[in-house]
Amino acid sequence: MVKNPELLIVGGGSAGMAAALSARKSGIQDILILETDPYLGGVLRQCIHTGFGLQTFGEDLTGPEYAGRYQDMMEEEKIPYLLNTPVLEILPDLTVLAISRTEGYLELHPKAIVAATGCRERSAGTIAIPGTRPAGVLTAGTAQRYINIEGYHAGREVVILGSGDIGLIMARRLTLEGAHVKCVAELMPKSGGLTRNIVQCLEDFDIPLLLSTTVAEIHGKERVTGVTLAPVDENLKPILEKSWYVACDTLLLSVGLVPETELFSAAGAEIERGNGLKVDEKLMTSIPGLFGCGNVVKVHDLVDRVSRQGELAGRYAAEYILGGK
Amino acid sequence: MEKKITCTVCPRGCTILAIREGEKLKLTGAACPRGEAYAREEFTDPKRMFTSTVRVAEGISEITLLPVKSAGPVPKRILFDLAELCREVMVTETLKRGDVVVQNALGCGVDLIAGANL
Repeated sequence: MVKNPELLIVGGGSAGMAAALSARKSGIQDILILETDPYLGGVLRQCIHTGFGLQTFGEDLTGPEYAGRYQDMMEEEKIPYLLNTPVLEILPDLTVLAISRTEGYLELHPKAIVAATGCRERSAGTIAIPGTRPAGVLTAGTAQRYINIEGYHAGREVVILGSGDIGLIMARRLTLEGAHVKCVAELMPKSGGLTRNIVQCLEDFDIPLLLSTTVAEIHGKERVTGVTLAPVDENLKPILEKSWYVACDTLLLSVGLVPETELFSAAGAEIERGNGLKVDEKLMTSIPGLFGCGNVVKVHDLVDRVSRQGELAGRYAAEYILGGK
Repeated sequence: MEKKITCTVCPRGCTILAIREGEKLKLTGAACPRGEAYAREEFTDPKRMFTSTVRVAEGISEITLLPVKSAGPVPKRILFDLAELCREVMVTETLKRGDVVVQNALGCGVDLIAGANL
């Protein structure tokens, strides 16, 4: 039987775990994290490359290692969490409705909530590429999950659209796993990825980076058979007269991340212009007692900064609860 | 022989030109000594961190793929061989984060270690 926690945290990734630990440190005993996945750590679990934790731990860790350190701290502090427990709805009075694989249907009434649901990837639908809709078009993060957690191949002949860090990291990962990454196309005249990733993920493997280039059409009926690439003009419009065809069986999209705000905006929380949850200087949303941290507020470059903001949100939520007594 | 090297020590990303003149290596374009040291190594024997996954035998854990990393940088030229090696490895015991998965991988002097608890 799950009893009402004082503080409920939605999401057990880097933001949620940091918030829980800091709320405990600030004097809140009664905390519960609800996590929809079968494990804690969120997206860190599939980010098996290094580059995490330089600020927090002063070490160059992989995603699973970084998540593991936080999990250890959670164990030490005995912070309770429920896995496989998606939150279905949040009401403006902070009632939380969730469904748990082990506990069944839950209706909880916490004194405060921390929103730590992270973000999701922009998909093919949101960027409107012309052409057919065959199998083999997937986001870079989905491919990462297939390869690093589930153990499936994502494709053999691959074109990647978008040169953000996830796209670059996946170019290397796919190459090392035997795929042929034909090119990375980037709409903008400059890559948004870190120099280190351009060198170590593309140059190391002679993968061409095509700047000011986009996918003008996707070909294939059952499975992707190729894409049409085209340079873009200064208004980012494809110049079709200069387009060319590249045969491939997979198109990966690494075209940006969107804060996962729906649960909270449905409850009435205001959204900032950049699509994240709108928060005040104490990380409280427009709903009293609902706090936000991490990528649901703003998409961060570094996990270390997500953890920092999680810590702050946990502390402010604790102050809110203790002040209300 | 000369080579253009993009420094990855910091986000500034200097372009360093390395030219071998007889026994000596001439480096230009680095903004700091760390960049020079990086370029020297990059010219002679570039090193990289290696990460991958290895399979976990049935019944050991809910995790079917264990993330692994090299305990330190390894020569870039063996990255593909290490990836091949990881496809062969099957973990048959309950490892903890930091435990050695493959000792002295391919004789390079660096271990592959577990990145998560099974």
